Amino acid sequence: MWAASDEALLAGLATGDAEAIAAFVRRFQRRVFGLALVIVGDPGAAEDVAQETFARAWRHAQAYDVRRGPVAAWLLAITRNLAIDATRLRRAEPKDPEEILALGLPEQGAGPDERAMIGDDVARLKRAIMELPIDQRRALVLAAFYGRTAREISDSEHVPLGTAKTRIRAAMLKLRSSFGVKGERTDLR
Amino acid sequence: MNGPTCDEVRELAPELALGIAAGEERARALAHIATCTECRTLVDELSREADSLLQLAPQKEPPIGFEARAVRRVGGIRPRHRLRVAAAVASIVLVSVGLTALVTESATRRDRDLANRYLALLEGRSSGELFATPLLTADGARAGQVFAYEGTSNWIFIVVQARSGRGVHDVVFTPRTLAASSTAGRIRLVDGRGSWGSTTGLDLRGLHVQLFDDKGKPDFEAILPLH
Repeated sequence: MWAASDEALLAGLATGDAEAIAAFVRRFQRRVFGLALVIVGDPGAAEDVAQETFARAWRHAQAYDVRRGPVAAWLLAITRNLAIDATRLRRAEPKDPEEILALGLPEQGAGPDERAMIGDDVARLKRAIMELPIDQRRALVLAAFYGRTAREISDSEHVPLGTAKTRIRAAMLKLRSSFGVKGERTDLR
Repeated sequence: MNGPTCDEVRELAPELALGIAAGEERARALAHIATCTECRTLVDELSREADSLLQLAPQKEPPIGFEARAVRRVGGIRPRHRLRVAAAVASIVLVSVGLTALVTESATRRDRDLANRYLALLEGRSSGELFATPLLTADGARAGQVFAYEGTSNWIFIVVQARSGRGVHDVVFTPRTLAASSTAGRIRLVDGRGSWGSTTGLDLRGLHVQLFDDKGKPDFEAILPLH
């Protein structure tokens, strides 16, 4: 079955046409709501975040640049930032990092089109994360999903600040090498 | 104070990419990557990696009715059918005529007085906010005004009153929060004079407005206020 690309759906969203908006929302709503719920922990607050994500996406659709990454990653980054703001307002505590990763691959429950579009990259990414030492994995999830700083991770994990920074950096370095180094000159040392 | 070295910035690059670097350390590193291509490339790559991690979040079916509410929310912040589009266009034309007339006679008036008159002009049309900011030449000389209205339908109106300038210029918008620019339209200048207006879906706060000549040179620019 033919399906429009994410970029095409985003272009449709930018037009403001009701059917195009609905198609865009339908494509991404499970991912956006799922991420919002993981971060804010409350379904009502998660819906607010998810709704605002789509409104922001519409407002910025014309400025989306494909060189900066796929539509899904761009949209989820908007979701993350809104959700982190919401958790700060609500003073919500982060879910245990291991719980996020234990909840299963994101394609569970998705339709066949969605599964095909998410592709193997996410599965590979998850495998790479699960191969990280648990301390590094926890630090990475706290930083990437909850926006926790190295200082906050140091406090919550009861380790020195330098250790928290090292865990974050080591995790990112390993993930990067898992997906291939793109250029010697920009390598982390 | 000297800026950080490339090694120091690379050390901090993962935290920059994850958006968790803080304060002075972050500011100094960002100043460095603004001028260092290699460090900027590294941070860009790591940022894409950090963004891709978010796809690991488990998907979850949203509550019943979510899609309809989302469509209403997006649809509710812009005109949804021709009648509303026509109303918005008519509003722009009316306001534009008024703004042009006001700008023409405003050379000696203070901006605050002028802004009050624009607000009066808009009174009753909507509860949105009106911004007015100077349009400047490349060397900082005043060359007109940019008016922006933030409401149910955002719009921008540019009035160029420069000492010189001719030909077609591209109107380019760069939102504050996004690096990508987009061409919104074209403005024709005759003896330094011209005007242009349009509705826009972009966030107006901090929006960078530039007018490029036919050789791609930015002749005029304005940055809309953040507040």
